[in-house]
Amino acid sequence: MELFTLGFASLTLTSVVYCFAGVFLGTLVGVLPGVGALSAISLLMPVSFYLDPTTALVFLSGIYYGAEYGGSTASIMLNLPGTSSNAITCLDGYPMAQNGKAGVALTVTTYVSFFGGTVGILLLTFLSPVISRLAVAVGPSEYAAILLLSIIMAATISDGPPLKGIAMVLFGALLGTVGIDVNSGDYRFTFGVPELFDGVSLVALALGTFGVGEIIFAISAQKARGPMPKVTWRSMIPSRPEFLKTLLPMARGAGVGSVVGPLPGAGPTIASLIGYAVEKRISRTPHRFGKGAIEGISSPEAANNAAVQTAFIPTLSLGIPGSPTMAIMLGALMIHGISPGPKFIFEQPEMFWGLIASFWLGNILLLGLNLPLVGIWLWLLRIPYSMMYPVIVALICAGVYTLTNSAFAVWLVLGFGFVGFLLRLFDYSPAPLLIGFILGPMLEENLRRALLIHRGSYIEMFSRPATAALMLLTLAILLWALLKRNSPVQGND
Amino acid sequence: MQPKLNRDAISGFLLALIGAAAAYRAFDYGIGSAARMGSGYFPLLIGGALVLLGAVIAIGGLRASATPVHIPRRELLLIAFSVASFALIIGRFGLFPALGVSVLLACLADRGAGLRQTIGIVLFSCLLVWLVFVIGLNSPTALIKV
Repeated sequence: MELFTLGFASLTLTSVVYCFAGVFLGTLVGVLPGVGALSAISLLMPVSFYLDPTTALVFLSGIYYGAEYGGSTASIMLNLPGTSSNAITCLDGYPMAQNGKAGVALTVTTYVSFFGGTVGILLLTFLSPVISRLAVAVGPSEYAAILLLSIIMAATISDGPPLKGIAMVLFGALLGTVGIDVNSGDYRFTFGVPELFDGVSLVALALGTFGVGEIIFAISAQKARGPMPKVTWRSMIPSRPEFLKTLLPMARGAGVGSVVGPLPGAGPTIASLIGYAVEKRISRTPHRFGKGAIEGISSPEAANNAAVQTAFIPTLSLGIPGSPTMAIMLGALMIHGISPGPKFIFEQPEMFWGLIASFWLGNILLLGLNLPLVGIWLWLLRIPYSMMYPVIVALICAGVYTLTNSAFAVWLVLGFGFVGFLLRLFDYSPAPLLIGFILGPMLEENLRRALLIHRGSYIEMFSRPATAALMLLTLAILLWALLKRNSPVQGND
Repeated sequence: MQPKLNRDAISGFLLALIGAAAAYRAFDYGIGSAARMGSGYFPLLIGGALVLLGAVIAIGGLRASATPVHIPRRELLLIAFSVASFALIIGRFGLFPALGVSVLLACLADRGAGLRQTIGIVLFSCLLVWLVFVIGLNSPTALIKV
């Protein structure tokens, strides 16, 4: 198996150290409410300049899945989700803590996370090469159709009204055209600013719309935090009936997460919501949910960890990121001149298998890291948001500045921070914006090639069997999105 | 006292405006044909779709009534000043002065910040940024320029 001959063999001491650093930092970021993995990864993307690409990816993805482990801690202890995919864990995790079961809840979320992650990695290991092999034969017409489907899915599945999601991917695709057009050499939408010739900086866009835009609202939305229940080592061991009760929900959650994770726009948050809903529906005692049901934390926490691992399937095997975080990860690859796509696994086998080997290592580290260090994580939870956000602002400013050593990127962050503010004010989600920004230029390129082959005929291009099927699916999702609009739209407040 | 805004009408109009501006500019870049796409072809396509979608959102919004919105003015202004001050100061005076001013302004966005806490946060931010970016990532940024 290549996993052992190439994967584990290619892990050096440096990459093991960075894997550890990544999952440690990820747990930290996950534990702290108000700091997300996306911001942390965007800030630390410059490590790619100093490390070899495999180690950089090992480090950055460690932050990503590590955050999923840490995120449930705040949900259980404070009723505040550490990351959005742990929000549903508040429903039963917090009541458990109030009933004196905080320790058990922390243990359960850790081992179900490990199980979910493991299932996710197994799928990633076996499916990615298969999908890549199929996709290598795919021509530009099919690739363009897959991209279109991904874009529409990302726009309509993610939170918020679907029409607004589609508007956001379009806006993102427009931002993606800024800079020199690779085909003609023309400058597009650069307004004569030399710093824009290479296009809009992905890091500035992510940190502005997600980081700065979020902070502005989060400061005024601070809630007083209640006292935290005490956790002793003894209280962390679940009883035998408690342990048995978590097993089936854990398996179901991992299943849900594995199916939902690779879908563009879906990802860990939606996986955890579906995992919870499934568990509540099939339970014989649904009235216990919301009052500290142990099944209510087992399923979603397994689901979100399975989803973060399977999210790598489309990213690595097709070069199509399904979430903003995955988009940043591909951005880190592109810094090294590695173009992601179906050929990635075959052209860079050491990198692909090394990365997967690091996922195994990272998940085992997390299992060992989370429980013994629980004292540190709980201590960190006492830091109020009012003390954290100025430090985040400092890291964002310094981070984007050091990326290019020019103040222009900081101004960009300010501009996109205002855009992020407006998006929240008008009830739009910034996630589809980033996906459009990444997938837009890829769509343009493949559309150009496809239409060249088909002599400019969209009908000819979309009437091949594969493209026709993909287009029908895309149209069905679009139609559903338009019909859904007639139902009442939910607002922020 | 919260201002009322018709969110969908305003945002839809703004999006349509952006789409229209992009589509208009796209003609300068050359549209070409479907078989030989000019560099304006794709922006025109996207811009046009954005105009259409923005219009649909705006018209849908006009049918509904305006809803009260919470605009965190103090936070918006001070965070904006904070980021802007960093951009203005960093080139001329270096990293630490830029961090000092911007973190101070960011702290002021929260009404409850005390003096001692603010000084602590400023010092901690400088230390953390120095450790991560200057020591860790080897950034050649000047710490203080005179």
